[in-house]
Amino acid sequence: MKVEKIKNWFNERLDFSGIVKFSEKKVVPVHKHHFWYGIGGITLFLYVIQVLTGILLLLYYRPSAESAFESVEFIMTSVKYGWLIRSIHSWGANLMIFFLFIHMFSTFFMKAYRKPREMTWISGAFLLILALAFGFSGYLLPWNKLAFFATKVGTEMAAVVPFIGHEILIFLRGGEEVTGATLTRFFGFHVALLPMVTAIFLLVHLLLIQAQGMSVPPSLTPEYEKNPKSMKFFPDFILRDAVGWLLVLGLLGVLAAIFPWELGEKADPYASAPSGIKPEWFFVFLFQTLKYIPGKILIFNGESLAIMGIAVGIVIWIFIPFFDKRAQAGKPSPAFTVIGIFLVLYILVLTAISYIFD
Amino acid sequence: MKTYRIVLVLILLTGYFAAGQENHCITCHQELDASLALPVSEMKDGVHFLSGILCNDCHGGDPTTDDPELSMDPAKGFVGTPQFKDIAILCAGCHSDAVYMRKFNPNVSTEQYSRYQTSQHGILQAQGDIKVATCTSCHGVHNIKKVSDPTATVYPVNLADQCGKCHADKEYMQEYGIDTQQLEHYKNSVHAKMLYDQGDIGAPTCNDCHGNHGATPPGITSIAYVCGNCHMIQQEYFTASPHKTGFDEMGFSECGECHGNHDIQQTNDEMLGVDEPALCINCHDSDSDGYAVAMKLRTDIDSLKAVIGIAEKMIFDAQKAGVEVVDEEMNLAKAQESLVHYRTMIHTFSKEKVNETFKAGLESSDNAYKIGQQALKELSNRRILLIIMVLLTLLVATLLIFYIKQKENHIH
Repeated sequence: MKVEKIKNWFNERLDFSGIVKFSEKKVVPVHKHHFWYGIGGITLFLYVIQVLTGILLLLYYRPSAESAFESVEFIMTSVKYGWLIRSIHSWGANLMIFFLFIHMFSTFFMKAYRKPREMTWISGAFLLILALAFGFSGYLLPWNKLAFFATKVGTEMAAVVPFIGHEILIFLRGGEEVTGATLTRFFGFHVALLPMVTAIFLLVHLLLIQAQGMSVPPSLTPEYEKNPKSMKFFPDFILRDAVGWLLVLGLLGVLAAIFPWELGEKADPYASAPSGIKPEWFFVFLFQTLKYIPGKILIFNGESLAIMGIAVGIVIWIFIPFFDKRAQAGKPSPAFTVIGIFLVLYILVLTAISYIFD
Repeated sequence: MKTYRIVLVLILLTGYFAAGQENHCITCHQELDASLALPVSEMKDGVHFLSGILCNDCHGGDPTTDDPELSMDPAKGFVGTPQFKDIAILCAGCHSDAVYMRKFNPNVSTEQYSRYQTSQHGILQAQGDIKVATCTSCHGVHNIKKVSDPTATVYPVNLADQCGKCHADKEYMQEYGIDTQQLEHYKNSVHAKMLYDQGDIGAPTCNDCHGNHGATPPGITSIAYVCGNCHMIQQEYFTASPHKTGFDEMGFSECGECHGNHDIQQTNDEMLGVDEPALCINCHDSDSDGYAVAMKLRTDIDSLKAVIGIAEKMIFDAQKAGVEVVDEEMNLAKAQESLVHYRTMIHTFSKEKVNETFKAGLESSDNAYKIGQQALKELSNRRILLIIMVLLTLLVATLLIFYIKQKENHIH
């Protein structure tokens, strides 16, 4: 058999027996919430799609203020299936962040961050931040009017950070204003820096998952210990994951074909800002929060204080495994569940308010 | 602007007092009762005072003395209130003097008086009519502003009302036998809408068609030339058309015959053709050449509009569905441009002359139509691709689910 021969050829040189044994032994717990284990796989699948479609877009995209818009227009109108690739890339980015949020909250509510998986949670939280940075930097690349002004507003927020805000703004924009220099560095972040850092975090995240396996929620642990049920990771779990991937792929196709991602008008730095500028949906709840903050809180600038508050909140969230002592001890921690529910409602309500009333 | 004026007034007043040349016309009159003090308060905003032209420059007398007997001594040239017949001559004393006027503005016109003498107002005034307009009737007396000053009575947005003070007054105009509805008609016109609603001060008001200092109704055979000051191409086409001779012979008022005069409305395609409310059939019988031309012109316009409309709709539908379209704007703009050009060309009233424009319009519309067609085809291809993709995905997913079900006994 030819296949067997090739397999042996590689095996003699690389010795896959360890990996094969590991994959044969690796199992995934089966319980009433095991469905949520698949969300991470879908997110990873979408990331792979982003990398592939991103590489295809790179073949034609030109990162300069003079030609970025025109090159995306060319992709959308003249490149064979260019419209599909670009639409899949844009929709894929949004779906990936959507599934990332679901993955994060499902992990949170199942308290999968407890010992020994603290590092997995932290690496995952950084992956979410990296995904948001991907979204923010990628949004500007078509160099259209909405993206231009949204980036202007977004980078202005960085300027309110005390002491170093202005320096951050200059670093992000490549100058005082959003210009071609901003586009070039955002492109650099988007296609070089962020993928490289993401690859490292992703590798760590996946290795930890493989090494530690899936966590059973503390509330189900006693029942699971009495009657442990599991399925083989390969091929049973992977096959189930593949069904999810296929459905997401179908959804991406539907979204890309029925609602192709609009290009809009080319950015004009001298034009007045269009009304109702909003950041991308995943930043809207933060944007809305800042709207409700008064200009002055005691003697401090309200916006600066709010940005610092959000930053502190994010740091606490990243290190939440160390705060949830009950979960660390393998016990249910309803207080943290309530915090999680509050956070989900907060994000949903503020996002809804922004889209419905503003 | 206001601050600038106050500063200028202060400088001027300070100058006079500091130089020991106190202007006693001002110092005395501002202390007198309302009607005698009014000229002082009014003049301080006026172009003459701001240019250093003071009371005695028009009224004569000696402003250096505070003795009324001496300052208003006729021996010192005091004329008091100039008589109506003398006003235009008095103003012309400076305004017709090119050398004198040059120091205020090297480009200022000094023909106002000579033009006035040729105007209907000037002619009647020379015959002793004291009701007709003279300089102060339109420009004001002591508070005369620069024409470019938005508060001037003759600034474009104020001018029609200023003319209307006399021309819309039935009782005042009775003896002249002139219609008094011009102002009302004008305010309902497309020109007035541009001037008042859109703030286009280049839009015509009374003086743009009638002249200002030489105001007179344009003669029937010169109306096209008057309108042609703005509508040059239409005038050129009309003047070379068979209508020019015909209208002149029949005493028709050229442009005014179809478009009206004071009450000129936004033109529309319904004015053209052989069906009501087209104007062509007012003169052309169904068996005349003119009738055939009118029918062709209207048919051409309708055809162009229809093709452009279809192309626009196709492109709009494709764009709405997310298909990016290029070059559509250029072709649609070209087609629209041809339509506008064709609407102008109808003033040639010649089937032959409009043909080229019609063909150009059809070509651009056709190009836009093809772009629209291509975009819709692209849209349809995308939908097919979508269906295939979704079906394939669902098929593979279903097969996988079946396979998983079969293997479920592997779960232990």
